Amino acid sequence: MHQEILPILPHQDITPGVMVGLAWYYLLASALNAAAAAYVAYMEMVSEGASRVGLAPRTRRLPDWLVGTYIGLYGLAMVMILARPFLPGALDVAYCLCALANIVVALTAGADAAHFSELRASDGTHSGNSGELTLDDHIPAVGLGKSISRMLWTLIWAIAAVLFQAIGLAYLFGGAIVLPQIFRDRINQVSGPTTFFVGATIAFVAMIAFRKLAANGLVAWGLVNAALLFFGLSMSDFDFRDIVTKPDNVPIVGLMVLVGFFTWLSLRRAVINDSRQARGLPVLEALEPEKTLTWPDLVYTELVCMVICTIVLVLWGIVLQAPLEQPASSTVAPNPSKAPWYFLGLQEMLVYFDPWMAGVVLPSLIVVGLMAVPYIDNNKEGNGYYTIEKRKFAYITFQYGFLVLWVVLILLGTFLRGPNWNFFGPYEFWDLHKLIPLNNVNLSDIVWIQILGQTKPSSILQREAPGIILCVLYFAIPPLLMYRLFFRKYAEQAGMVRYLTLAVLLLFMASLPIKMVLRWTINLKYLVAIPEYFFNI
Amino acid sequence: MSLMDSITQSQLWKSVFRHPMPTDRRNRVVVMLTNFFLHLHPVSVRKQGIALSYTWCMGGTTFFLFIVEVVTGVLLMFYYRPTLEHAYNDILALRDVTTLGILRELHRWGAHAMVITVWLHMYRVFLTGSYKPPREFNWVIGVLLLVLTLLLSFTGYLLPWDQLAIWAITVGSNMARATPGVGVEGPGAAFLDLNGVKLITSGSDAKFALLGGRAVGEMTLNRFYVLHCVAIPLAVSLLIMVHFWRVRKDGGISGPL
Repeated sequence: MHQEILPILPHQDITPGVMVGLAWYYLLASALNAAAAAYVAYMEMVSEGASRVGLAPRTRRLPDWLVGTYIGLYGLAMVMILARPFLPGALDVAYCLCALANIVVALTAGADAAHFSELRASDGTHSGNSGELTLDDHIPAVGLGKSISRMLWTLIWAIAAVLFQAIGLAYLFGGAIVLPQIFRDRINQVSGPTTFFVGATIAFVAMIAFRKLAANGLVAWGLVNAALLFFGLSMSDFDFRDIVTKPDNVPIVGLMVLVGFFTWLSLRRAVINDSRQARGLPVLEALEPEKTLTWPDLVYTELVCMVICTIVLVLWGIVLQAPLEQPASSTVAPNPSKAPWYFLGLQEMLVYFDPWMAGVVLPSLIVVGLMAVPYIDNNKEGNGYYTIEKRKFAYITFQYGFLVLWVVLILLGTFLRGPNWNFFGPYEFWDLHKLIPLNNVNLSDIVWIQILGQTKPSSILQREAPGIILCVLYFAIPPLLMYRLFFRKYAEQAGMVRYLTLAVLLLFMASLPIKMVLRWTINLKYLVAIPEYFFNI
Repeated sequence: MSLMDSITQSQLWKSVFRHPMPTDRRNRVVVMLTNFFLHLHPVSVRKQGIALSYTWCMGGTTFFLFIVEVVTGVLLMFYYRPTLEHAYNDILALRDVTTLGILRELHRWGAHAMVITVWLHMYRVFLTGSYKPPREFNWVIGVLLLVLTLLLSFTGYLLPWDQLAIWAITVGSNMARATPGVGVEGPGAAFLDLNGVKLITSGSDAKFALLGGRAVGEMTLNRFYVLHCVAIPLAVSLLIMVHFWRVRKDGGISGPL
């Protein structure tokens, strides 16, 4: 076996293939926004939890000619795609037909929404009686905010659809839109594990604090559009694309989308349930207490899920080949050497902890802690429905653990950790020779050398006394404090065993962010460093 | 008598299907009671409990993906030989020459998808508080199934015997070396010696047990193959049965109590 020697080419941010791919990506983004515009303009607007009296279900129908045009244009595009072996340029024509369909839907929806609201203002057929809600006053859901202006939001999504379509058409016809280099440099400069982790934590706190706002579909859709734009533009960068499109990393992109969607869905239902309960209404899950036969209602749902699942898997398998690298060789180690993606959160912890902590003790505690959850949580509320208010502590703690300490660390480990486990910005080349000066010190160095100005004692126990004392205090004082401040009632109800288990698990969970902060602020490597016995904390 | 009638009235047909097509209420009930694959469900369910916006359908999807993994996995076993000589080339052939080589793609992407759906299933169960009494123990079984799912995926990683495989396993198994008490580089190992003879060495520690040698090699492949194809799937199957049985016994899909 001999290796081919390839000439080293400069990395191409934009290639013809990438431009075609991005064109279709923006076509999809445009279609989604056109659908959103049509949904706001025409579809039933009374959503979960609204008082249905006098409001629902009332819908406007899409004009027949619009439906016909839309299906006709997309159908014609399908024909063109199928006929592409015989017709040169058929793909471009298909693209333009789809683009036309999207733009027609978006513009028509905007115009009709404007027309409806004009009619209403002039006391036309659509107007309601004074003070009574009409079709144009959409109430998102109980407690989620005031009624919205259909015209305004239809126009916003219509404009977004047209803009995305314009970007897509630009790519299709050879306009090479790239991210400005200065933007990429700035992002690379400011990104690091600290910004990434702290940013994720702030975003999480903001999501919980402003959950009513976040639960609003319009805000969420705005965020989706921002994410679509960010991802699309970023894909024009070689280094970003190189990492994101590695076959084994593709599921993580899917994971992000799914986790984002379901987090939002559950948040929305929890917010609606909480405000319903505050008004003395039953929760959404209790609205229809009656039963239905399993066949066909559940069995058919399961069947459809299985069919969709199969289609997704088969398409995924056709489009993306399972990775197969060079034959195994124990002499050539890849750099970076990574665990499978679902363990990258744990591998990230290796930066901050010794292997026995990061690889054995903490994972075991995660598993044991998860198993202990139902025995620690003695709150009888919130069983079988989404709620935050009724079980704030459990909800927020678990969600923080899953979203920030697990998913975010996996993202960090997958997309941003490069050779030598160095951190790289999202648009940064994974340079094998990147050197980051490491001057991490142990607590014993700080105490004995930096503060006391003397050499470290030879006796291990004396040398590590500061760290050992700190660790003992960490597990002794916070449980007492927490007991005094927050958990007295809980401990009395649940008993001391449950309370102490909870406290220890919480302290171990908190040890990860604490250790991270210590590393970033005072370059602390180990609190207790006894390498003689492989015991470092 | 029409042809269709004579078929459905035959002894053979009746021995397979105990009831006609479940179009009326009685037969919809009967099909749930008499069909092996459906009898895990109750005859009737709460409407809100099966709403997709409530359950996300993630538990069922996970189970379906497990079946996909079993079927594609068994088919792959007809082809793949877990030896250093053949492993890599067999996978290569699955990609390049074998008819239906896409089975490997289905198997691998299905495994990734299954990890994701397990997480989302647990996420939903937590957010709706569905682990609360009487479902506490089923949550514990669920956590065990999560661990086993991750181990299934992890042990499968080694089998193609490419660079990705052995180095991912190397990263993973180096943790075992640091296990307190039973790993040669873990805390406590230094104290375990008998008159100067170390009890825990690189030839007798947790990593050695996992790999069947000091480094990833032929024995590792064999061990991971058996774990991946026999040991863990058996344990998972058993736990899934208990899991489903308890869902039924604890009142079906959760809902407000």
